[in-house]
Amino acid sequence: MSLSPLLAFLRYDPSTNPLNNNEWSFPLLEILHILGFALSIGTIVVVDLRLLGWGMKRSTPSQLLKDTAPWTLAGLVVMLTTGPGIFSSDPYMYLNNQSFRFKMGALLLAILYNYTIRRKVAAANASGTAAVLTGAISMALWVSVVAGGLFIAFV
Amino acid sequence: MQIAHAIQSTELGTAIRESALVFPVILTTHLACIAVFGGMILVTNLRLLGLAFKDRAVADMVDGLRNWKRLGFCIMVTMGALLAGSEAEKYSINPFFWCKMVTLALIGIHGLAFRRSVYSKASEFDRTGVIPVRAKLAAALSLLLWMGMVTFGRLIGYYEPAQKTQSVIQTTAANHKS
Amino acid sequence: MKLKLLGVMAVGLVAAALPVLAHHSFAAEYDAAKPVTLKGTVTKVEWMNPHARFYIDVKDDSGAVTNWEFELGSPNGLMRAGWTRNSLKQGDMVTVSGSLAKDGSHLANARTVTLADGKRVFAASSENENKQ
Repeated sequence: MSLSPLLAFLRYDPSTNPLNNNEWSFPLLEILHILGFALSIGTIVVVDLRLLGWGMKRSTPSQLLKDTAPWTLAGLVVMLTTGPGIFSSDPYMYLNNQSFRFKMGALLLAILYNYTIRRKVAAANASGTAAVLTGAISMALWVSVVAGGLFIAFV
Repeated sequence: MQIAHAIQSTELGTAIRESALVFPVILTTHLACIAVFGGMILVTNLRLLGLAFKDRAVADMVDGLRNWKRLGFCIMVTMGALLAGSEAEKYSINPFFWCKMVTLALIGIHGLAFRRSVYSKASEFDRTGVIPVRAKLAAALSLLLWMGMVTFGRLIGYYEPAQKTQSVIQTTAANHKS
Repeated sequence: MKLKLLGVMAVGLVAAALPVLAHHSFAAEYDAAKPVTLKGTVTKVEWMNPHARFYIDVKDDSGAVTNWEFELGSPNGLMRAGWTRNSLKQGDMVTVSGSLAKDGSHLANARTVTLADGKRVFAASSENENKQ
């Protein structure tokens, strides 16, 4: 699936994008992107750590999942708004960037995993190997997304 | 600045600055920590502000996550020192970097200032079911300060000193002499 | 208490008074519609993260010399594109193609560099991947 034909069809010229025509809009968007992942990934990790048997041990995984869910969603909304925003400033560059493509793959996996397997495991208050594996995989997926994002500028 | 030059000219500083993977990996670790440990700080502050996690024990967050936050802090500071040290000359004249350091100092003061009245009283808040205004103030300030860290941190990479063109002209002049 | 609030405000004021930023997205800082190709002698190389850069002296027909700055990608990106740390050295005669900075200064984002030995390498910078 390539966006290039779509972008070409729309005759999208990044130089008309306001993000490229004023000082602060791009850095502001990036800052919101970072704060957004502190919110989304941060709240996800609280549950993941609990699945690993660490952190907020007085609460159960299902309690933490229930409490963090709306905040995680809010964080993801921020990410899925700021992300495309940043993308729009230089779409062809991002599309052709190996690290960006990796990041999108990891992100898709991470979101799917979050709302399927991990949700089931945490809601059931699983413990032992299943819980540990679930928490670990979740954290690994999200750290991969962060790494993928950072490495865009280093490949 | 001589000190800055000396710091970045060390073998470690130079190696990081000129590295292929080491620099981005250090940065990734720094960012991953924002994700992992930033969440813990956020969650604690939301609880103290009474905005979320109202059925969870305050102590579970304040005491239960304390060591994790400390670990995260140590990793952040180490990664930060490696990054700043590798480009000390640039950082020493970067106003965003200094704003970030001032904010970090304020965070330290914040921790000390509220230790007795808030951060050692988590169990009491759970017992009485009341979170005093002072604790909410501490939480609000904490959120503000940490958001400041992220903001100034990201902006470090955007600063370009005005005297850049000067050094370019000097290079040309110096080359004519030789 | 008040001191801390004052401190936060002071930091905020300092931040508000700060000067113009250099952008970090290619499209914001450079103009792909303003290509430039220059030939000159390397005067300085900065092999560093997050962006390497180098400077060349370009002599025009009248003999006047201008010093130009070119931004490259990161060392990791450059090495993936075939560079080594020593690909560029002071004194090398090179040809550089790139995109001019929007602010009209003697700065450009390099797209390709023909090195002293004739080898042509991509500059691993963000513009490099713009294929429309």
